[in-house]
Amino acid sequence: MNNIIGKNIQYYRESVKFKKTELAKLIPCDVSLITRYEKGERQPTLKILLKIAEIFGISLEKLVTDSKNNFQLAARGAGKESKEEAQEIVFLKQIAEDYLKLLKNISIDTKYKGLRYINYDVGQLKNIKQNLELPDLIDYKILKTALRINWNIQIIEIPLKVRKVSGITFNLENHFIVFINKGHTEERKLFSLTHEVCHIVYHLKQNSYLISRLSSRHEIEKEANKFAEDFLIPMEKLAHEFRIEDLHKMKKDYITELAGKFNVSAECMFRDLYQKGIVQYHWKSYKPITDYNKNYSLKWDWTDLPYLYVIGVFYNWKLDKISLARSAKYLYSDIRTVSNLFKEFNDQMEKSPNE
Amino acid sequence: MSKILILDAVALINILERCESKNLMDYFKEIDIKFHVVKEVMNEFNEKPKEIGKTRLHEGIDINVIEIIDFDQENIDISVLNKLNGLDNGEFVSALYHMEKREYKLVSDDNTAHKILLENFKISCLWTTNLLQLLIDNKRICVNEAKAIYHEMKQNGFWGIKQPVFESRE
Repeated sequence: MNNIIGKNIQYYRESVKFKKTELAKLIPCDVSLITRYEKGERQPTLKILLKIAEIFGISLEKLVTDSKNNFQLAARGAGKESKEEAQEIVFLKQIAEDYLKLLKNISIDTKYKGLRYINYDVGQLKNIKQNLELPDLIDYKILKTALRINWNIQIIEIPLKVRKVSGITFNLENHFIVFINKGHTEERKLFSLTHEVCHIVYHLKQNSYLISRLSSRHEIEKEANKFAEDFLIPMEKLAHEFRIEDLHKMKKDYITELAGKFNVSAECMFRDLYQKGIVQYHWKSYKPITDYNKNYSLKWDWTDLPYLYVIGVFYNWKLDKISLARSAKYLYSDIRTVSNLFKEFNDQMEKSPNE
Repeated sequence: MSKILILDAVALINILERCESKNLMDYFKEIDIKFHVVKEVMNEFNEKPKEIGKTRLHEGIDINVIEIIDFDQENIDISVLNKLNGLDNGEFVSALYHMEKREYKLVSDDNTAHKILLENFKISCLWTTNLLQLLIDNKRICVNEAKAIYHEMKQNGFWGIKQPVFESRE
């Protein structure tokens, strides 16, 4: 018996770290039935298939399509994932894959065009900045635009359910999609995006992802933090801003002021000054400023998706590659809203056909 | 009695919500047309817009006119499922239901659904505007009324086939 569906159920169940008993409880059905589905000994009914798709947060199409397309992603370097993280990764991977598929359907090239190095050396930073056409001092918006335009990196900013996760980057067949936690502050987002740049340039292999958590002690996470500090707080600029006679001023307010000049958090500034030997006491003794709101809202909608993604959905629909109902799913919205949105796009196109 | 399966929520919204001055369902009842929708399409229909938008013109579904089907299928033919890629769950289940029963005329206001069903299964679907033509054919409305209804539906956000041509059969 053809067992595409069974293999897909097993693939998604294992991806979200569900035991068979947990899946059976949610459907609900007998656990032995899950085993039989996965082994291909029995075919799930349509109702059960729809329920499973709903539980995994995927379309029915994903469950019935040949799983050769579901390449197993490898997580690297960030320690053991929790079940919540695994579930978030499956969800984000779906968005990433949809994004690439939508753009591929309308012939937009999303292959990575940036630099790759093997080992981090501070001397490479200048080259990276030049390649990205970045000034010495940058902010989040500038970096985001430069990465998208010059390196073809797709960046999606949505609130992540696992609040301590600051960013997740996927390398899908040499296409890079970065998710940044919208719930974090502008400074944290800038730091996180720079941190992810390090993973892209030095760490991420094909068909793998990296999950970056606040306060991770893993070696590559430490390297990515070092990279982000060196990238955002260039030594020459720091030397220009900071004078030796200011040493006695190394109090919280002064460090916060200095941090503002580099668009980083005070905590990040302090750690950098400590590592450069400018302040002598350990940075952990400096009471860290909580630079992310633990109670941020998890709500988001299609307006949070990149414009290119939204336009990608519209053109896929316009070219009859997807239905309006499917477009609504891609945009995490409802048919009425998407129908009005597409009508607006269409009206705009008719008004200015040459644009 | 004719049985029509509304394939997607887009068509359902168009039929139920886009005409303010008349309840089209009353006309269909008069000519003994029975509409069916699968539960999944109804779920999509019931998803409300996030913003406070247009009010629902004809609140509630008249079960004397639209019957909701809870379709389940034990032995799904995977080769058929693969040919339905591009459709969403509601359209997906509707198409499977139609292939099982083969007793319906299908209505969809989605070009993709029309294209996939025609190319892969040689199934030709109707548009909502074809239903207006059906009302003309059954002398419930005249051509000018159909044009006025279509105009009103467009004003209310109707989204489907480009300018239809209504014809009097007399």
